[in-house]
Amino acid sequence: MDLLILKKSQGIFLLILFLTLIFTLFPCVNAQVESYEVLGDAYAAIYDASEAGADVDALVSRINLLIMEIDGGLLTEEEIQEISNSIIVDSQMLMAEAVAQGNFDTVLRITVTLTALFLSYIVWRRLPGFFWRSWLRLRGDWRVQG
Amino acid sequence: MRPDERLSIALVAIFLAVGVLTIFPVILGDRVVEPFSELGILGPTGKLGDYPSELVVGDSLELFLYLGNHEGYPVFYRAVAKIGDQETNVTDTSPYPGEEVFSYEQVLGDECNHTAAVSIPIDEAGLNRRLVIELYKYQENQFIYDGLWVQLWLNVTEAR
Repeated sequence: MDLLILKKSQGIFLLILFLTLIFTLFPCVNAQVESYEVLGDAYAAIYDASEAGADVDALVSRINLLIMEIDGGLLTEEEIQEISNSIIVDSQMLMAEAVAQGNFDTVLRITVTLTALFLSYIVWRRLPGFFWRSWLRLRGDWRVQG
Repeated sequence: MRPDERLSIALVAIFLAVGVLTIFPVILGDRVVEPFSELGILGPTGKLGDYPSELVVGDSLELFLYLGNHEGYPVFYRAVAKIGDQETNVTDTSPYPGEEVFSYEQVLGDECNHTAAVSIPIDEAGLNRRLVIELYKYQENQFIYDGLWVQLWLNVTEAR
């Protein structure tokens, strides 16, 4: 019976030792997985800003620097999260600006198209008359010599 | 048809052509016709060729990895190096089942490329070993195999 109790206590001790090891090793794995989730969120924000038409070159450089620092083990989890959040916030700001610029561009395109159509109509209606009136003004005083 | 009518039609046609040629690039300028990514490896000198083929276990393969993005948007790439052999072929539909020995992540803006010096550890001996480098793209919260791969054949001998 004593032997069994001893074995049980040994078993519990081994289990605690095993769990301690797992929990010591696991945060590393979790940290890496969470880092990539965090990077994924930052990348998704950059992608959205880019799709809205924003210039995301600076943000791409920042996320690449973050990847490099994560790979080098230079940052804590909090720092990674903080930098990632700042990228997300800046992406959202750029996206809002890009959406406003996009709306302006749409209005500009419609205006350019309508102006082109209007000018085409004016050219079609007026240019021949204008051309021949100019022609007459320039050459109208010509006389046929007999 | 009178000459002035012919002239006016010709003028209108010219103006329309100029108008169309001016407006269409403005409207369609940003469209990507055929999106693609690039993956390549360069030798230790940073050029195509001179790839190492004879290695000793414990050596690192010094190469340059080349990535290019012409997808029309920024892409989060992951290049993964795997060790395999002659028995299993590489396909562009599913990832190679070999052991992953190295990975490299990089976000690339549209129409950008990136060359990085990489050092891939080789810890397993064998003749005709295949080093496969595959390209993955981050989509829907995970890296998905893009179907692009390159490979090098290696003879790895035991350290003396």
